[in-house]
Amino acid sequence: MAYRGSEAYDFSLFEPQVIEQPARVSKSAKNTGKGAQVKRASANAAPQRKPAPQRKAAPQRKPVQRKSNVAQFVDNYQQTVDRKASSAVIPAPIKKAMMFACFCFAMLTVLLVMQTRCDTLMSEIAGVQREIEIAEGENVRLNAELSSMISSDKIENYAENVLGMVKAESYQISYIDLSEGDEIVVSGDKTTEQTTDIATKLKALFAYID
Amino acid sequence: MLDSLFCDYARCVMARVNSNLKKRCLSGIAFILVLGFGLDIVRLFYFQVIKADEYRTAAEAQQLSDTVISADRGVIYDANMNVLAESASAWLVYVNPSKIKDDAQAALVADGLSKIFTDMTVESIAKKISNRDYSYVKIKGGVEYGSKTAVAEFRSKNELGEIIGIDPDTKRYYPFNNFASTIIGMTNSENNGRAGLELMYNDTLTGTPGRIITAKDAQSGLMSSNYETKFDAEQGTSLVLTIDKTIQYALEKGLSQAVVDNEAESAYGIVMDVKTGAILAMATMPDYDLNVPSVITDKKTLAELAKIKDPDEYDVAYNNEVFLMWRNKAISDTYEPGSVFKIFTAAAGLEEGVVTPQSTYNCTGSIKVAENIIHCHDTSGHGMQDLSEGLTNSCNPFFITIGQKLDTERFYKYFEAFGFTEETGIDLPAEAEPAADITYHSKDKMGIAQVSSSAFGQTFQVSAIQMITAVSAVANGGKLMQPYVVAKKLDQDGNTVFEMTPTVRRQVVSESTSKTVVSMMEKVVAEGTGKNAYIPGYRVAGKTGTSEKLTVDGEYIASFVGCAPADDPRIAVLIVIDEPQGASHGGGAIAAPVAGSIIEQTLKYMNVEPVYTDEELSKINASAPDVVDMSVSAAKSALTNQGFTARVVGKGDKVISQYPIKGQSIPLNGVVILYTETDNKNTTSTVPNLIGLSISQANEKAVNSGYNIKISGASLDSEVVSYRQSVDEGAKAELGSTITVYFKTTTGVED
Repeated sequence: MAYRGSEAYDFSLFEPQVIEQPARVSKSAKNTGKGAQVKRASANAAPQRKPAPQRKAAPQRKPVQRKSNVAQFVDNYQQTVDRKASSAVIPAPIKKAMMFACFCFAMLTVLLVMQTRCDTLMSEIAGVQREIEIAEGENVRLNAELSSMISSDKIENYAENVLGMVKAESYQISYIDLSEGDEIVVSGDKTTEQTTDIATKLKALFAYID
Repeated sequence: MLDSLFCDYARCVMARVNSNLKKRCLSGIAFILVLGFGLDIVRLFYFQVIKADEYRTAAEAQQLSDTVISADRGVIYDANMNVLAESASAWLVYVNPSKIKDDAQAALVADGLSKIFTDMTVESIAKKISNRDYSYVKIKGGVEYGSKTAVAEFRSKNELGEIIGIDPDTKRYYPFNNFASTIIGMTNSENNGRAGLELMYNDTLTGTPGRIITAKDAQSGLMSSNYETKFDAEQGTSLVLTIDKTIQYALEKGLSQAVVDNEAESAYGIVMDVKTGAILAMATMPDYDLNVPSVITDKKTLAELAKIKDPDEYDVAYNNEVFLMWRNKAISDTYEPGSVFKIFTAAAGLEEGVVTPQSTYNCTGSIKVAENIIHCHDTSGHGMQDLSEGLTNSCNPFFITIGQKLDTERFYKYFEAFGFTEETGIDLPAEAEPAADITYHSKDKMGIAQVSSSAFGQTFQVSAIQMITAVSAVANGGKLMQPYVVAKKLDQDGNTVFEMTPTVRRQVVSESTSKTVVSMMEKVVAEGTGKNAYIPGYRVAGKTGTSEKLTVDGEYIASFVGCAPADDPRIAVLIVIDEPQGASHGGGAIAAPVAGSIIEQTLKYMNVEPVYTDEELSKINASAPDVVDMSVSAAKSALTNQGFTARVVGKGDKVISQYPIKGQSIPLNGVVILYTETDNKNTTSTVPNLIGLSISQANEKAVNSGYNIKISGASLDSEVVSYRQSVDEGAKAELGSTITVYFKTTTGVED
């Protein structure tokens, strides 16, 4: 029959037990391997008893080796320190996840700021574009108004009736025939100048002879 | 042990029961879920796929406000890139009557808007917004910035944000108002072309409209601009016309003066570049202001309308007159060409060899055609004359004879070849379409009578654009050109996307025939019925025409068509005066002077140098001599010796200044005013009446009054009479100033 969990018949529980001394693990050893598990040594294991005739299968208990109170306190303290040390070290994946989250948060913040700025600028651009459209419209309107004020008939009326001007007569217009292309006419008689030069040179020559 | 077994059994039974129950429950839940979700999926499929379009449209209509931004139409330029029509951003003001709370608020809206839009009455706005079921009632489009700002202030001040709305819009500006109105045309309130080039090139000029999509809240109010998406409109393609502003102005001025001088119903004309077919100017008078196209300004028309007392009848008549005013008569109307058509009869006769320049004909004043007597306009007869003289005299029997010699076959061949049986294809809307046996005689039904009457330009009709195109063919070596108005198309950035190239439609007559006919036409202007178009220094060729209107009894159409310079024609001008009421209604008397003036201005503008003959030189004006700083007696003597008259102003002994100044043109025997004091007052005087006088009479009268005259018109003819002066009688003008006096002859120009 399977053991049903009733410990009332397990007299071995009333026998003296040896408390196991936890093995000391150097810090370097603790830091090696994942989880930094502490191995318990069982160097002073209790002597094995011969198992009693089995009426019932009793649960096996590890022998407990009793230690002094000071040693136990030291051990407890050491365990506490170890636990704290192990809990202070953040696992690398968590660190990466946290860093990624921080990065995402930062990016999100930057994006939000940029989006806000972009919206502001877009709004400003739209405003300026509206102003440009208005200005262009006004420009066209004013140009049309100006053109109507300086139309050909108004100019002619003003010139003739107010300023007393008359249209140019044919005698005031000179027509230049450019059908044969441009010509360069050099003014002055260059031959005279050359003659003068020769005469001057001759005079200068005879001046030395004289 | 039994207990244990029982317990195990019970436990097994219960487990089995639980298992079945669980399965059923799960199945039930699964069924409910599948059924529920399945129905949802089916329903979703129905909405999202089958009825997707319908619900999308409904959702968009409910959630979005879609406003169309009108695109700016392309700009219309003249040949020198002067802007003739341009669009600009404007606004459209509308009212949402469904948001109006009560009558008091409606009255406030109507009153406020009517004060801003002064052309609208309170009643008209109140009527528009009276139906409270509407959510959008347009009040006014094309609102300019000032008015828009006023509307915005009014709206803000009276908290009418939900009621009065302002949308983007565009407005078409025509800077020169009436200028080239029948060519340019105008747009309607929807920015679509309604007449002229605006209509013909509507698709080209129209840009791509933009849109503003704005989210709406539950109350149908527009949300802020953060929920707004704008798609900018794109401007349409611009047009560069062949119309030249200077030539167009000369034509319009001449035509409007002709309407006034002759009390005519209307006048229209065209100036064409004979070598390309490009229209340099085209006008119909009276015209209209493109910025207010529905307003009639012609006094004669308004006087006629004022006689109508019944308001409804008045409205109908007014609208009819508006449509008539918009009509481009140079394109859409047909008229009987009269003697102008003799040019083509002569060209056909010469080309076919049935007549030569030396061929003679004895005009007795009439000719018998198919038992009918057709009279010449000179019923006494022109006597013996050659072809050139026949054209100069505009002899009807001579050209009837030429037509008969050509016979139906050959006459119709040239009638058709010159383009009188088809549209010219000009890029303007509503060109008159020739209709066989209605506007002209078809070949099948053209007998001797029809050929005879057609040969001197009667019993058929042509449009002005057909006539000038055909005359240009004669002037252009016989090549019939395709007339056109748009020379180029430009994109939004000013790049040329299309350029018109002149198109020769056909060679109608030979170059030699063309030259012969043009030389005969030159003689018409120099000596014949067209001498009022004569311009000293320029060789003008032309032909006059007068015809009785077939549609109105006792009314005439006077016309003149000419080309210049005759030795190498560059331009052709056609002037048509419809129903002149003056003493003279002949083309030579009333149309030729207008054409002459336009030709002179155009040739000067085109820098065509005048070349004067000796006879012309002897009659043209002289230059004023310099007599400043001379003593009064010496100055008088110098002027008298040169044939001028001196008139002294002041009591000084020395001439301080003179008018006209040295070198200024004054007529021979003109007057020079000599000022002898620095502070000359009262140097103005009243201009006398110089109309109805000969050249010498006008000059004498002007000189006696202290003025000079400039002679304009047929100055070589001794029988000319002045008919207009540049400064009106009774006006004040400075002594010695020049008054242009226009002369024309009334004898020998009846046709």
